[in-house]
Amino acid sequence: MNAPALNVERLHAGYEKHCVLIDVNLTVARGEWVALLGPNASGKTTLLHCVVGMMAPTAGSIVVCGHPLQGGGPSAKSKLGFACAPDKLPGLLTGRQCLEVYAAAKGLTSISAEVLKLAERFQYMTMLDRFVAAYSLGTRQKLAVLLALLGDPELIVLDEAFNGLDPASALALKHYLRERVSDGKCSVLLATHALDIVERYADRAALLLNGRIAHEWRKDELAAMRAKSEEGFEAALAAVAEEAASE
Amino acid sequence: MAGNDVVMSLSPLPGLPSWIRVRPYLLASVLSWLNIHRRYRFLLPVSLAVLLAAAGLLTLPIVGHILEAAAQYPITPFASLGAACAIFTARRKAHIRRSQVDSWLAPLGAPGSVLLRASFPLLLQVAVLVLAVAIPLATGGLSWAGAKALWLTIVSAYLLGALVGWFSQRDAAAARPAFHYVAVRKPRENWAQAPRLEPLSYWAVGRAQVISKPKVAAKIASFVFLALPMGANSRIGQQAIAIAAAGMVLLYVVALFIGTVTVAFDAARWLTPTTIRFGQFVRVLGYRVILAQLWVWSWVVFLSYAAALPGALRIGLPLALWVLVLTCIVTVVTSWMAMRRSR
Repeated sequence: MNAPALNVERLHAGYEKHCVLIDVNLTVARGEWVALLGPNASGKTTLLHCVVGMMAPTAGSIVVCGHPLQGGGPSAKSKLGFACAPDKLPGLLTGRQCLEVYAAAKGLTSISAEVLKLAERFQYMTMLDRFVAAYSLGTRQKLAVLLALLGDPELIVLDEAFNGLDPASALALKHYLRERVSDGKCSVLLATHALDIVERYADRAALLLNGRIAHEWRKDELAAMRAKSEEGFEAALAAVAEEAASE
Repeated sequence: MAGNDVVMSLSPLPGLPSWIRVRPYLLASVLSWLNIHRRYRFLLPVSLAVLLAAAGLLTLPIVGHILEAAAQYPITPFASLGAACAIFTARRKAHIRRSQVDSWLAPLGAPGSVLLRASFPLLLQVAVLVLAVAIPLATGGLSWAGAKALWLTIVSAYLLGALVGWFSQRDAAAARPAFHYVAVRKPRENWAQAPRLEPLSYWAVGRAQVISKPKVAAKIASFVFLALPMGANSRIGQQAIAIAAAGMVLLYVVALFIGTVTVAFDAARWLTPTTIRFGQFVRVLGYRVILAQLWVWSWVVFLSYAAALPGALRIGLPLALWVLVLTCIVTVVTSWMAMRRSR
């Protein structure tokens, strides 16, 4: 029960000969929101794909809520919720069918009222019976997020999930996640470029550069930066990235 | 100087002629092709092997006889090639016109190179056909007079077909989206209270419906119309209609196969983060495909029986059973491969 929501140790992963992740260590505690930052092609999506089992690492271990992801049966996956890339959603199914299939594939007996309420706040209910192929990017993103939240997962993994969302829906999602994280119902690992989310909502941030975790910021460090610098986290991030590049 | 260096490094393949480089659409197509061959290095040798095999087939005496017959009655190859070329040209032109609106290069406002892009595939086709006639001529399977007649037929059919296709007013609007062809299902009332995997089974059948859309099926259906002048009561007319009907069934069955295989991989990937089991996956993916096939084959058997076609029934029944068994095997094997690959 005391095991962290996610424990990644000495993770190596890549595509064919190209090594993307090199010796990555990352922990997400229970009831914690960790933001994963990094420039494009730094390995954020690869790390998330490894965490949810969509990609097999070449070395290292991933433990979700005390259950090993590789060779540990379905226990680890039953604790996970992942918002896949919007373009990977099945275009020939309707949103309702996607939700139903995903819930059944997770072994759920019903879709929780909370998720349906969030769908209403997203103003998504009117889109339920349309084919996903007819959705805009934002609507696909909403569906991907709702799929990730099915079954009250203990670890929610989101890959730039706020991209394309309208401001009202983005705010609703931020509040929903923050509330659940603060209540200790779940933990969040979010790969993002939106620094306002890191400043205002995340408990911790990790910077991934060239496949390695280059720097981590604790919650108090984030708060201190917010108070000191006019440019806030943006300037601090740029300074760390510059320092890492010069090394 | 530094600026020049940057420009040099951006130049794609210095060996490409300047008339291609100044045409972005053409350049993008050429680079795409080159990249495909760089990425899949086996493609070039495989293509050459296929071409050599085809050239080998052309040296067979029977091909020479067929070509000689075609040269004696050139109206049939002329009409077929002309019609095919006209349809191809009209479609190609519409596709190119559409790309000028929705391509990633459209905002450039660069020349669309419509004529060049439309004519290049036609010239390639003509070259291939001319070569296909030259090979039997060189091996002695075809007479010089026959070859001359066929070359004249090919060139004149393509010229006329290209002109007709080019000036036909085909709608250049965007094609209908794929989901347009998929049947809309009525949602279950208690979908949220008792979610089921069942809608996953619609996916494979839906993709089959997209593959066998009317635009594709119409090509086979057109044989029925071609058969009508032979007389629906005559033996040859009935055979032509039966062949067209078998073609329709085959198209749908092949579409179901392709739908099952492709959806198995897509669905397995999509559902990787869930705890779905192999048995559940196979059952739900396959059962509606099997049902769809049962429906089709039942009609085939019934109609064969009703039409008193003993030969068709004798072949149709075992064929239906074999295809059903094959579908089961394909579904299981593909699902296993897909789940193994994505986990």
